[in-house]
Amino acid sequence: VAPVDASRSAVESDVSERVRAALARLEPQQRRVLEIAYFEGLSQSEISKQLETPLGTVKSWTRQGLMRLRELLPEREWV
Amino acid sequence: VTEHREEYIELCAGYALGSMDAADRERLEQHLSTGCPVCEAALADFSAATVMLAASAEPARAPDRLRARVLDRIASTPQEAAGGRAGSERDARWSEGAGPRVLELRPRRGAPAWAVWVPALAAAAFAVTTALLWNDVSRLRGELATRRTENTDLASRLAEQERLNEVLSAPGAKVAVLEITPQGEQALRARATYDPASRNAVVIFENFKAPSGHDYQLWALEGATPRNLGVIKTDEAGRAVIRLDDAGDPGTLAAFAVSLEQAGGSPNPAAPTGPVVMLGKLGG
Repeated sequence: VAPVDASRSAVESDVSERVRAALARLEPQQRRVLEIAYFEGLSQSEISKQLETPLGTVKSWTRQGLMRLRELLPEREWV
Repeated sequence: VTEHREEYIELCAGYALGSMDAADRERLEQHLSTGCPVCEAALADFSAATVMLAASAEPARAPDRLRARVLDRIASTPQEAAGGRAGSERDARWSEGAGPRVLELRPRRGAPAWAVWVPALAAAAFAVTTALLWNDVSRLRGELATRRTENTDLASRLAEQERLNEVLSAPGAKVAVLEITPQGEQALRARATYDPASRNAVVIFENFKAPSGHDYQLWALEGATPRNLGVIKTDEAGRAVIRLDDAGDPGTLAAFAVSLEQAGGSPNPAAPTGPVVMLGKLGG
């Protein structure tokens, strides 16, 4: 592996670290809906069924979670 | 533009995350297609956050999930169906006993050691690809928003142009070519077109570069009474095109005048304070 790649992957893992740290600071239910939606690919109504939570609540957790994530990770830091 | 509603912001979040149900998505896309700056900004933010979410996928995590899913799948597969397969003897052995039967996995003869890593590598590659795709998607969304803004901008400029043309080409339009008074700069050029039917007017200015700390101001003269039409804002070249929705009553509107005032216009809103530099009577 070239040295350049090694340092690049170090940077990338640093980004991952920070994103994960930010995720850890979300309200658990906000983090949960984001993870289910993104990593398991469920739609909001499917999430609502899985978590036995009203659809409106799932939508509002999604919004709050993404907004919080955005606040915790300003773009200049992320890029 | 369909009116912005707060609920659309929530829809934008689901949209960026790609977790939206079809009906909601259609509703939002319908709204977005009319160009809503608030939603476009929100969408850009949510998309950026979603890209970050992709970055949180650690390579080790995907294989774990994959493993869990595969194990789940095995656990939920009816045992009769799996047990009946011919040839499974060589790779697996069913141990009989009380409770559930357990499938013991043995290394396949001849399978290279790196084969074990293939699913992990594939999952890691998938995570990276997903992150890259999301980058693309959010960039494309950004471009789409820019194009929409440009479209809106062009449309409004076109509409403005059409309104100007309506006045300039109106059959009964009267024209006033403004003459420079002794107090006026020789380079000043101005021409007013007034349509008595609609009472709209268009006034075109050229070489209007007011001395520092000053502004040119436009007036309508109704009989001999001036009426303030506002300070003339030009571009850097001293050009301006002003459209007046109601320049005045055709019965009394006699002329247009320009005065040179202190910055911000005449302190007296009812009449020029500085010198009148141009004056033009409306002709036929």
